[in-house]
Amino acid sequence: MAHHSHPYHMVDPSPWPLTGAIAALLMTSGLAVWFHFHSTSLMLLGTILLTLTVIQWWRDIVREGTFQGHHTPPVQKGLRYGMILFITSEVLFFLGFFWAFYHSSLAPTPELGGNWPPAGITPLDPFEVPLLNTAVLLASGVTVTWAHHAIMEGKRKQAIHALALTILLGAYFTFLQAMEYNEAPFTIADGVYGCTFFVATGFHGLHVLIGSTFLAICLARQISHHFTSEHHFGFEAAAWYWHFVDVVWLFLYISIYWWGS
Amino acid sequence: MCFQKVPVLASRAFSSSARKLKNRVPEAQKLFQEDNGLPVHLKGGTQDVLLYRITMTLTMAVLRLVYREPATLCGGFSPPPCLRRKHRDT
Repeated sequence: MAHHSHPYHMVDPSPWPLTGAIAALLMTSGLAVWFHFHSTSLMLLGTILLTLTVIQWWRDIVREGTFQGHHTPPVQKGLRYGMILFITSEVLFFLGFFWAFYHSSLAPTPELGGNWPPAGITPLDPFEVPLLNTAVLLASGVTVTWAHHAIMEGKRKQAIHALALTILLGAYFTFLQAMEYNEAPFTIADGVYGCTFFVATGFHGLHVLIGSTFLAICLARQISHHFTSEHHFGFEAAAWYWHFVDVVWLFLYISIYWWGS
Repeated sequence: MCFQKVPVLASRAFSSSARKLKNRVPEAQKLFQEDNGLPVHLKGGTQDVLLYRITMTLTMAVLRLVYREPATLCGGFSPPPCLRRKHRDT
């Protein structure tokens, strides 16, 4: 191991950026192959390689921080900036879909019957399952904050319980949303309403899955004594991401489910 | 005989089995701070090397397959003459 007189992290050479880039190439090419030639093999292989890459890359980051002590305060500051910038990019990603929704719904064309919701579309009742989903995600925001305070106060058991509850609430949201998708009276192919609805809520659902996975890794790490009361940035990053997912849902609920009905 | 344990089992703390999970962080710190010149992605031992080899082999194999035999993954479709390599060495 190199010995240095500065607090920064000079990482070991790693193969994961290369395998990750190739995996992304194969996944996206595979998507095109699926669309044009009805074969999912390439996309599946790309996804497997991406999964192998991210598991080993993030495993290595855990080793560098928790086991090798490379995450000094200046390094942690960089990681914080990085996570904030990443979440900001995700906000902009969703902004595009909200733009598309408002573009179509503020001035509905004659083809839609000049109305929003368009003629022939039966929107979901915003005060049924969507309202329950809102309550579930808001509650999960509370439990993740509880988990954070428990970690900061060194209350190991409480932190494990609160984090587990957060993940369960996330799973409950996913289950409810899957039921809604199955029973919705409109599809993604039902004009601009169906398209904006399912693309926006669909990407949100994907982010719920990613966030839940991130929290589950944090639960495993908390159980394995990785986090200390002073140093637990991995958990903080997961909590920030989870709050972002919650806020996106609130905007979706108010814009698409409530105002849009 | 085992029924005598029921009151004990029913009254012990729910997570007492979780408490038995040993803190393995100091062991891991010793392993990953060993001065053996190994990069972090291989420092865990033979499992690391195996997983790395599987990942890299699969990556290169699929890349080679897609580049040389696009028809394999496109359901039998062959590229048009203008896109085919002129001097194939297979």
